[in-house]
Amino acid sequence: MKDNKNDRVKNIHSDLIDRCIQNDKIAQMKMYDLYHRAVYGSIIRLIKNPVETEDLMQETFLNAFTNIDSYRAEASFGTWIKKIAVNGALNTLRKKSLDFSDTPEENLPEKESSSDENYSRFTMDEIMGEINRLSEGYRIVLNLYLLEGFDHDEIGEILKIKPVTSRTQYLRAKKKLAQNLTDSYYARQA
Amino acid sequence: MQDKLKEKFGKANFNPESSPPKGHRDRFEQRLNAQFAPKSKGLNLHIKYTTMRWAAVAAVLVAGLVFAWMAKDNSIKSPVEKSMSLAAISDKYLDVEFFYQNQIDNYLKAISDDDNDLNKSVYKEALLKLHKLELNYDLLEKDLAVNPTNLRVINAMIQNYQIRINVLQTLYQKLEINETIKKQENEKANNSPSLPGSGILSTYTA
Repeated sequence: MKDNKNDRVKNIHSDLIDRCIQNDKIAQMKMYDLYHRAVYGSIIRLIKNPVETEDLMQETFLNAFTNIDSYRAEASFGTWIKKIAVNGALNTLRKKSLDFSDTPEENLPEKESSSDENYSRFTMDEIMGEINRLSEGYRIVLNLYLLEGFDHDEIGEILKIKPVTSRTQYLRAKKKLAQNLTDSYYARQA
Repeated sequence: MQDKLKEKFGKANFNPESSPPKGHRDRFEQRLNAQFAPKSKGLNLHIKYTTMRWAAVAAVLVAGLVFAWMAKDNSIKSPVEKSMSLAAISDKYLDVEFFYQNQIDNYLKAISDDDNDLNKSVYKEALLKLHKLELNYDLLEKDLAVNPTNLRVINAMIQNYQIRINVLQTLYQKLEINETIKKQENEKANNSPSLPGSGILSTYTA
């Protein structure tokens, strides 16, 4: 996952993190106040259910505070906790029998379309609306790649699939998204 | 190959954040408090642990003694008021609990007045069943405290009351039958000097 936060951000919270290691409740609540919206956002995009999402968000923070000794400042705390959140959300989806298993080889090679859709005519809200209407598998890959910033190696690791499968799923999801966006666009024009 | 979709998300610096439902902070704080109780270290922790252990042992001993005293005093009649009772759910369930508890109390009162020796085994068997049902009810009260809206637990508690009343009803009927039999036997025994052949009938038939 590409860490967009710089070292300055890491240093700002290092004091709070040290206090969290000491189980300082005030520091833990401050970290919660700082990151809960980002964590909640990451989970609800995958889970969609607000009640389940809140529960998972809280689990994520408790899990993070329990294992904060293992946090290494190579990535920002935000990146680290979002990874915990995404893993938790995906485990929940797995329990609901969502299958991320590798796509059969014969269905695999799908090259990136040379005529990638021109997305400039769509607003971000329109694109997000269509992403949310996609099937769960497509929606998850698009969210992890576009919004959470994971690359295909990381998505492969998280979803326990080959990186090439993640890439193929992403291309298919993007193709389906483009098609749906175009259909909606022409429906609006009609 | 250029990924125009990724580019669009990058350019827009799109990172939507959502807000959790109202009250999430308090709910989280409660869970945090439950999970991360304040830590003591080293000797203090040892002393605290040892003290707590002895306190727990003392509490168990005191509870045991109180229980034994109360049991001897025959003052324990029902298993209520542990964890969460039906009455704590709503007024409707308060009425339900009152109704069943009242029936149980009436049966227990009626049965305890009966000290017929012949009924000992019947009595013992029923009390054993009741004891098991009461233990089961204690567990259900604990379940209810955890899931106060769980209808399965509530129904199981009501069913438990109904079974206890059935057991008491059956016991009461058996005791009544035994009492009647005993009365008849007593009457027979009282009347035996005039029987057979020495009573009114024998006079007429003679």
